Amino acid sequence: MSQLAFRTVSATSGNNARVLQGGDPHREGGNPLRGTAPKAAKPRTPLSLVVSVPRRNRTPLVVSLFLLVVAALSAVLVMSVSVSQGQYELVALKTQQSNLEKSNQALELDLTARVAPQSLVAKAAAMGMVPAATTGQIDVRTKKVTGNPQPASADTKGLVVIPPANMNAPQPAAAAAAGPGTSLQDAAAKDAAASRTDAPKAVVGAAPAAPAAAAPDLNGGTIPAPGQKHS
Amino acid sequence: MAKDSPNPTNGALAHRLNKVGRGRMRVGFVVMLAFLLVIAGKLVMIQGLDVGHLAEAAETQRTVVQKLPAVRGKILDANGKVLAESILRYDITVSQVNSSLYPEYKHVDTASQKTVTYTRAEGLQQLADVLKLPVDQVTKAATGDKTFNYIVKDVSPAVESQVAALGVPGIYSQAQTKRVYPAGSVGGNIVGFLGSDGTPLAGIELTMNDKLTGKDGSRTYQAGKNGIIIPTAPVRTVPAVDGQTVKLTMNQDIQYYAQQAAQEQKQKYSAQWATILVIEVKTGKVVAMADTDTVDPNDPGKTAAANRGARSVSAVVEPGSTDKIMTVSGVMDKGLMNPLTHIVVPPTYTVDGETFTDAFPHGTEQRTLAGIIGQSLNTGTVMAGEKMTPQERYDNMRKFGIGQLTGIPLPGESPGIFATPDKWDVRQQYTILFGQGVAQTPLQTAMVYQTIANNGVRLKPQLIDSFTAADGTVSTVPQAPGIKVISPQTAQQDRDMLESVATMGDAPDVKIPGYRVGGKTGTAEAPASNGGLSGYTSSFIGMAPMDNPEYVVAVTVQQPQGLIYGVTQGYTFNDVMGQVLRTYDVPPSSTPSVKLPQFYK
Repeated sequence: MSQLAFRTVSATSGNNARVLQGGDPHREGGNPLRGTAPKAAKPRTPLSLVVSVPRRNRTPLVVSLFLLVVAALSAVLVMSVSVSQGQYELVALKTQQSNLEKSNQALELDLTARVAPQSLVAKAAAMGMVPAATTGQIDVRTKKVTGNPQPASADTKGLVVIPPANMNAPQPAAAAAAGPGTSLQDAAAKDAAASRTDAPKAVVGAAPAAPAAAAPDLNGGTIPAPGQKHS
Repeated sequence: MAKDSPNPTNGALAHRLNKVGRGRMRVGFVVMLAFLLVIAGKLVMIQGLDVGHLAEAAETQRTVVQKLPAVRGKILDANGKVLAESILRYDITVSQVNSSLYPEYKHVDTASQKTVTYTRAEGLQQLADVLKLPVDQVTKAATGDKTFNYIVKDVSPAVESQVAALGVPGIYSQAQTKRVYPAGSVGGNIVGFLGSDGTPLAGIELTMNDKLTGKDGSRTYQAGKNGIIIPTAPVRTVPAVDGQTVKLTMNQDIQYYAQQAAQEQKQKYSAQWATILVIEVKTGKVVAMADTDTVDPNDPGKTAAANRGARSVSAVVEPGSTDKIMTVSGVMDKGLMNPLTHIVVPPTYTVDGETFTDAFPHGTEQRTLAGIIGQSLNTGTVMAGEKMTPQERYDNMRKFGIGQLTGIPLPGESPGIFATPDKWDVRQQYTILFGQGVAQTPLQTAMVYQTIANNGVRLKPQLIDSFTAADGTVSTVPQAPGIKVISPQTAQQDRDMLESVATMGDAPDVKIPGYRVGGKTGTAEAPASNGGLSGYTSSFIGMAPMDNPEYVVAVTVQQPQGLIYGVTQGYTFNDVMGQVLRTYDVPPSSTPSVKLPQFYK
């Protein structure tokens, strides 16, 4: 038995049954409870202390714990698998999205290049179209035609052609790009300085009346040069 | 322990041995406890108190912060056509070290699902074919002992995906953004361009840089030593906010037409430069601002530095006769004169010792005020304008915006040159009446006519229509309040006189069938840089339709060669204004033209 039991329960030997009060019931002389014997307690069934610890059934607990552990692990495994699966799907969809975006951008760029006025003019000229020399207006309510509409003639020349966008131009080197930037800033600074200072008054002689026919708005005289930019 | 234990040893020896055993057990127990305490203490210190900040250090080592770059906003024209946008491009790079590690490599052919072995030379040949480069160049770039080298830059995504599909070991691609301008030089002076490092250098790209630049985002995740993302670790994504889209008031088609017309004028007269401005009268919106030899923002280096800006706002010229309308407006607004006031104009007019003559010799003429504007007489203008004091003349022109910045969002705008009256000399106080001795930008002069067309209310020229944020919110730029310069009646009188310039005056070639038009010619002597005068600035500013003006077109040509009397901007005006009226479906005029008498009996 356990150490605790050993220390608290005193060792016995032999029979632990209590000694009955009121004599031996198996004595001769008839009923011992009647007569001269003193009134005694009701006799109880003799009890004997069983000195042994009841055996616990360990097997179901171990099994249930084991099953619990297995269940937890499998739950974690399932979650990981689904997360990883989701990641694969995510990567595939993201790749698809970026591919679509790239092709969308390429198509949009192609479209804007074709919509640019220069390419429209070039296509129209290639088809043999000419600009309209005259235009007219139709008032739909009164059905009146104003203006001076004439049929187009094949020899109408268009205005000067502006060159199309050069979108594949080589990127400028850092040094060259610094050049335009600084020269622009220089020009702006010069311009600001010139506008702030009052131009010196220049005294010019007699008004040039002779080239009157060629110079409509003559002023001659003491007009100070305002530092006009000849750019 | 029962006395009758199975231990054969009994008695005192057993008792002694038991005691020793118990002692050893106690000692072992104490030693174990001590170790346990040490381990538990260390555990508490590391896990609980974290004395060495090891958890933090480990997390820092695992954490990777990836930048999500923001896309720069687009610039659109009034109809939504793209003028500037950022596109995705790739640089094809090579790790020369890695490339030399694979003299042969396996490649799975996606079509047939077969594994083919290629040599390095074959791989490089395939790469050269895809990139359309000579194979020696590619091999040279890919051979060496550097870990990073460029094979080619700025490749389209389609080519990049072809390169990736080849699977040549050691070849990688790097994403870049590139700014393209699909319209090229159409509107290039307004849109501006970027430098090679992406900083804006001109135009709307520069002034609206804050709105166009977005805010980069970041993605913070944790990765293991081999770079694989730990899926259960927290991922924090701050999305990138793309730049706002700037929508301009400029109409790309009219801008193109105006640029063509300006270039044509420049070539025809071998001029230095020319500009054409188209302004919407009622709103002040700039429909077109055309320059000659405009920069193509895709390749700004190819254009001379002087041509990379917008001359309409930066070039300062003496306007000449177009300023005369301000003088008569000031006089009429004060009630001193009206278009039919009789003025006797001598051949030359002398005042304060200064003599003024006209462009053509004439005798004494009995002119109305309309006639003085109609034939652009300096003498008559001085006679009318001297009714104002110099301060009044100054204030009148300042109200029209002369000498002040218009506030248009373009860099390099000049306020012009307009001295205060105390600095005027005896001649200048009269020459400013006919636009000499004062310098203005073509935009300032155009806005004078916008004021007259808009019943005397001057508006701020507006170049930007709206901003669109990355989430789609559109914020329209509100129209700035106008400045009342002259009364509506004075403005009407001005318009009548301007119409008479075309119907009765010196601009008979200005006509658009179906519409009433009016305007003013201008021929100013251009000052030379050394103080004298050299060449001319020839201009014409007109408006249409005169019954209710909707658009102002200003044509300025600098230093046209040849006989100045032969230089006319009338046809250019007709072309451009006709195009504008047709594009916006402006109803033709239904009222008869105004023909104010130029002379009186």
